[in-house]
Amino acid sequence: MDQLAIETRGLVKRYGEALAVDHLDLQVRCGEVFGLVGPNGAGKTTTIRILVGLSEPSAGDVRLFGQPLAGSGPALRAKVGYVGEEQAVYPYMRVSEAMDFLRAFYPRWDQDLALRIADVFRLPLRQRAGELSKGMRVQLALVLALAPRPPLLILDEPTAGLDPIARRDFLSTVLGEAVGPDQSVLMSSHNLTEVERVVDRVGIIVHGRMAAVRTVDEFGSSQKRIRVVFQADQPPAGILDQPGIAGVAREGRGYLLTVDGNVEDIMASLARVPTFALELLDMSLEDSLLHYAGGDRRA
Amino acid sequence: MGTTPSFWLHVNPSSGVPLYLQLKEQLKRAIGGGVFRPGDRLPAVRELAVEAVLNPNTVARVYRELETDGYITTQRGIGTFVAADPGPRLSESERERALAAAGGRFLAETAQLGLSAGDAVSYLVRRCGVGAHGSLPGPAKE
Repeated sequence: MDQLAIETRGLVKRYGEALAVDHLDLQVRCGEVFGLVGPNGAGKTTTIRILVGLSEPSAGDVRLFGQPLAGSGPALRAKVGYVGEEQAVYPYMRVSEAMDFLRAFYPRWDQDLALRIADVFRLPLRQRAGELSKGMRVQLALVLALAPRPPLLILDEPTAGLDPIARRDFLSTVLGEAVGPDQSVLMSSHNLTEVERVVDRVGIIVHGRMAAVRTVDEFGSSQKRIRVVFQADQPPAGILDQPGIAGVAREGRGYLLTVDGNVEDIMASLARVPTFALELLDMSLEDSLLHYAGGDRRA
Repeated sequence: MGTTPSFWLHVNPSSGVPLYLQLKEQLKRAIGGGVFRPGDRLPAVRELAVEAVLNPNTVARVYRELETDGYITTQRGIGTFVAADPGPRLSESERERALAAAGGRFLAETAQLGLSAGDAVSYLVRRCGVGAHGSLPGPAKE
C-alpha cells in the first residue's frame, strides 16, 4: 500500500514580501527515506518547521499519514520524531533526566532503545545537556527523537558539524532504528553526498520550490547518453572515435552515444558540425543540482 | 561472518561510481577473493545496510542482482548464502595485481599529503592492529 507519510500541496510560507516556500509539493511515502537537498536559504528548514508544527503555513495543504496537520491534536504530532538544527533540551538536565522527562509524555517510549543508542554514542548519562559538545547534543536529540518509536522521523541538517566518524554512527543508527516498512524518514541537507547513501529518493529544493525528485538508482552515475542526428549522410570522420565515447548505436536517422567522461569536449565537437538534433540525456542527480542551483554540491 | 574483518567494505559516495555498483563489485571481489566462501552466510540486508551505512533497498538490489548473476542464493526466511559454485576464485597473481594497484593508489595519496612511506606503514599497522604473527584481528570498530 502506497500511503503517504507526508504530503504537501501548494505549500507557501511568506515572510513579509519574501517567499521562503513557494508552492512546494512534497510527497514522502510510508517506508521510504527521503532526502531534501538544496542550497542554504532554499526553504528546507522553513518547510520542516511547518511539518513539525513549529510554524504555520501562509497557504497550502499539509497532511501527515493522510490527516490534515492543521487543527490536529497530539496524537498526530506524537507520530513525528524531530531533530532540528537547534537542540531543544533543557541545558540543566542530565542526559538521563532528559530521557525521564520526555518519557512521561510518550506512551510508546522505549527506554531500552534509548539506553542502547546512548551507549552506541557513548553519551555520558550523568552529564548535563548544557555541558555536552555539539556532536553529543545532536546525538542526544536523536536518542530522544527515536525512543518514542515514531513512524516518521524528520531530521533537519542532522549531521552538520559532526566529524566523519560521528556522522557515520549517526546515519548508521538512523538506518538501524528508524528505517523499515512502517517507518519513514525525511532528512534535509545542503550536501548531496551526505544523504545519497542512505536515501531512497531525493528532492531538490531551490528557491522554495521542488526542482526535481530523483530515485536512488539515478545517483552518481557519470555515464551519459548523447543523441545526435548529423545533417551529412555519414558522421564526420573520427568524430565518433573520441576518448570517452564508450558505445555507438544507430537510432533511426541518428546515433545514440554512450559517454563515460569527457562529456563537455564531446558535446563541443559535435556542436561544431552541422546537426539536425543534438541532446544530452541522463542528467545525474549531481548535474541536476548544479543545473538548478548553480552551486557546488560539496559547498 | 564472525571472523570477517569489519573493514572489508568501503563505499565512497564521492567516487562518481553509483553506490550500488560499488557495493556489488566489492561483494564480488570478496567472494572471488575467498572472504566469503561457497555456502557462507552473508549478512542480512538490514545488517549490511547499517554496517555500510547504505539504504537497505540499495543492499537488497545488489543481493538480487548477485543472485541473478549466480554468485549468491537466497533461501527465504533462512538467509543469503554464497552459491556452491560462485565462479572461479581469484588466482594468486590476480590478487597480487589488484593489491599492487590498490597499494599504489594508497601510497601516491600518502605522498601527495606530504607523508612518508614510514607514516603509511605505521598507519596500516595501527589501523589493522597487525600482530607479530601477521594475521588480522576480528572486527574492529571504525
